[in-house]
Parts: sequence; structure tokens; C-alpha cells
Amino acid sequence: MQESNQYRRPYFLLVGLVALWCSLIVAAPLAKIAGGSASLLSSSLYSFFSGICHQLDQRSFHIAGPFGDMKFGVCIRCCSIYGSFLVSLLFLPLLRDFPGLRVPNPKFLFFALLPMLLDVVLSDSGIYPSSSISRIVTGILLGSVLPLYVIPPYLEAVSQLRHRSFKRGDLFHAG
Amino acid sequence: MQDKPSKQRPVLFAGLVIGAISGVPGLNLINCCCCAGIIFGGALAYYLNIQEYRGLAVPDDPQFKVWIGTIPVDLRIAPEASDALILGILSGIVGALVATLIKVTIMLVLGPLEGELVRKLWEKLAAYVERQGSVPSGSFDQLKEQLEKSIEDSRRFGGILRELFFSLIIYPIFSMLGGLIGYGLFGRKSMTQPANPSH
Repeated sequence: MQESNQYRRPYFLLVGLVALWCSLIVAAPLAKIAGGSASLLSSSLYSFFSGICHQLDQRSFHIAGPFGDMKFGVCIRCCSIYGSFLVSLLFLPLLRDFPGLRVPNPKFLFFALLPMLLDVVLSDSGIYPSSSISRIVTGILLGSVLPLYVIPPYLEAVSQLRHRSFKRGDLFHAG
Repeated sequence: MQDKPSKQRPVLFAGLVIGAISGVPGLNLINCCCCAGIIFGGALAYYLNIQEYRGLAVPDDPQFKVWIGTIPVDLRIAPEASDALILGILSGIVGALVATLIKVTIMLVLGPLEGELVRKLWEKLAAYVERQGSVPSGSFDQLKEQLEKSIEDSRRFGGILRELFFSLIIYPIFSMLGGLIGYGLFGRKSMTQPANPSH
């Protein structure tokens, strides 16, 4: 019980940070719609996210505003990855106890990444046109699997940093 | 008991890779895919850190000996998840600084030529992608507008500072994720020697 308690705070910290990240993506168009001084915040957020996403109009979710539709801070694929990462993060404690959490076999990450890679490569080479649905599905697949590879080392790392006497090599990977 | 190997070399090398991927025009498109280049750099930092353990003395006592891949490591100094976290954050910070340095150097050396060069490269790429028909034609005008804005921004001191500020937030976050994923992928510890240690 005490062991699972020590993981709770860093877990909720991460959930909070990921939720903040996702809300900033939605805040960009909302601030633009709000207008006034919020427009400055909106342009800063768009500028912030421009370093990690192409932000193409045709490939983004939009919110209807008084001066036309406003796109989210990042594209559909990125939204799907971040959104499903957050949802998967929230459901993780319901599925597994933290002390018993192990990093799955790397091949599962590869299988989760493969459909997105294929979607990007086939689309950019003109063989098969990717659609919003394919971007959402492949993004959700990768985003929902990623926490399984990030959370166990993250919790272990925070625990080690907090208690330097933490038993070394506690995390042995599952086959 | 010996100390853990220094993190300096893996951090600097991974930071250089992150900086090169993010700072060189054209190559930085890799980061459009959820900062793939930065995540790769974080994982690379952890991988290189493991390589630093090669050749270090390992105790004969099997109680203190683990294998990470094919590398025998003293359990008392074995790389931990916290090392992956720190390596990721540090290489992200170095990467942000290197990327800014590369951008400023390119701007100073090539000056207005750089903008022309990037524009020409962009037009060639756009013509190729348009021929493939995979991107709607309206997207190109929008991307071109963004490109012009970023070229203009990169020439202003305020633009460079703002970009550095954003990079110093984004890069450590994503490279930390890369470091943690790298720990999951390469940090597999085993108490027994792998079947084929020569590979």
C-alpha cells in the first residue's frame, strides 16, 4: 500500500502536465475566438506548437468561431497521439498496479508505430492518400501504447531521484 | 567501488544530433512528426550511456553482475531509469542550444542567401509532392506562408530569442520521453549471460 502511495504523486503530476499540454492545444483557437488580449496568447501558442507540428489547415481539427473556423494548435494526427496518450494514462492505474508495472516487449511499440509510418510513407509517396480517419486511428494506436513504455521508467526514475537508496535494478523488464 | 561513467560524452553527442536534426533546414522537417528527431536524440543519449559501460571492471560475484544486452555491468553502478531521465533532459537542453547556434550561424554565413536557398529547396520539394498528389494544393500556400514567416523571424534577434525560449521548453520534454523510451528498449537487465555474447 505504502509502495503504491509513493507512485501516486508523480503519476498525478504527469497526468496534470499532459492535461495542461492538451488543453493548451485547444486553448490556441479558443483564445483567438475570445479576441482582445487573448489573441496575443493565441499567437504565442500557435508559434509554440509550430516547432513540433506543420499545423496545416486541411489536416487540423477546427472550432467554429465568429470570424470563421479556428484550427487547433496541432494537426489531427498529433491531437490523436496526445489525446490518446492522456486517456491511456488515465486508464492505466485501473488496469495495473504501479509497483507491478513492467515495460512490455519492444516489439509491441514497433507494431503500434508501423501503421502510422505506413500511413505517412504511402501517403507522401502518392501510393495511397491518407484520410482524417487513418490519421486519427494510427495516431490513437501509437498514443495509447506509448504510456506503457514511458510510465514504468518515469515512476522508477522519480522514485530513484526522491530516494537515492532505492534498490538498484528494481525494474526488470517483462518478456 | 568504481563510479558510474560520465554522462558528458553521451549528452554532448546526442545534443549535437538533436541540434543538427532541428537546426539544419530541410532536416528539421523530421520534427514535424511529433518531434521524432528529438525523441530519437533522447533515446540515443541513453544508448550511448550504456556503451560507456563497455570495458569497465565487473565483479566476479554473480550477485553484483547484470547484463544489459551483451554488456556485463556492475549492478551497484548499473544505469537506472533516473539516469535515462537526466540524460534525456540534458541532451534536450544541449540540443536546443546547438540548434539555435546552427540557425544563427547559417543566417550569419549565408545571410539573405539562406532564405533564397531554403525557398528554392522548398519549391522543388513542393513541386515533387504536388506531382505525387498526396497533399491538397491549398496546403502549399499555407506552408509557404509559414516558411516566409519563419525565415523573417530567424533574422530578428527577438525571433531568435523567442525560438530559443520555446526550444528550451519543448526539447527537454521530448528528449526526456526519448530517454525513458530508450530505457524501456535498451535497458533490459538480465542476471544471466545472453546466449550469444559476441553480437
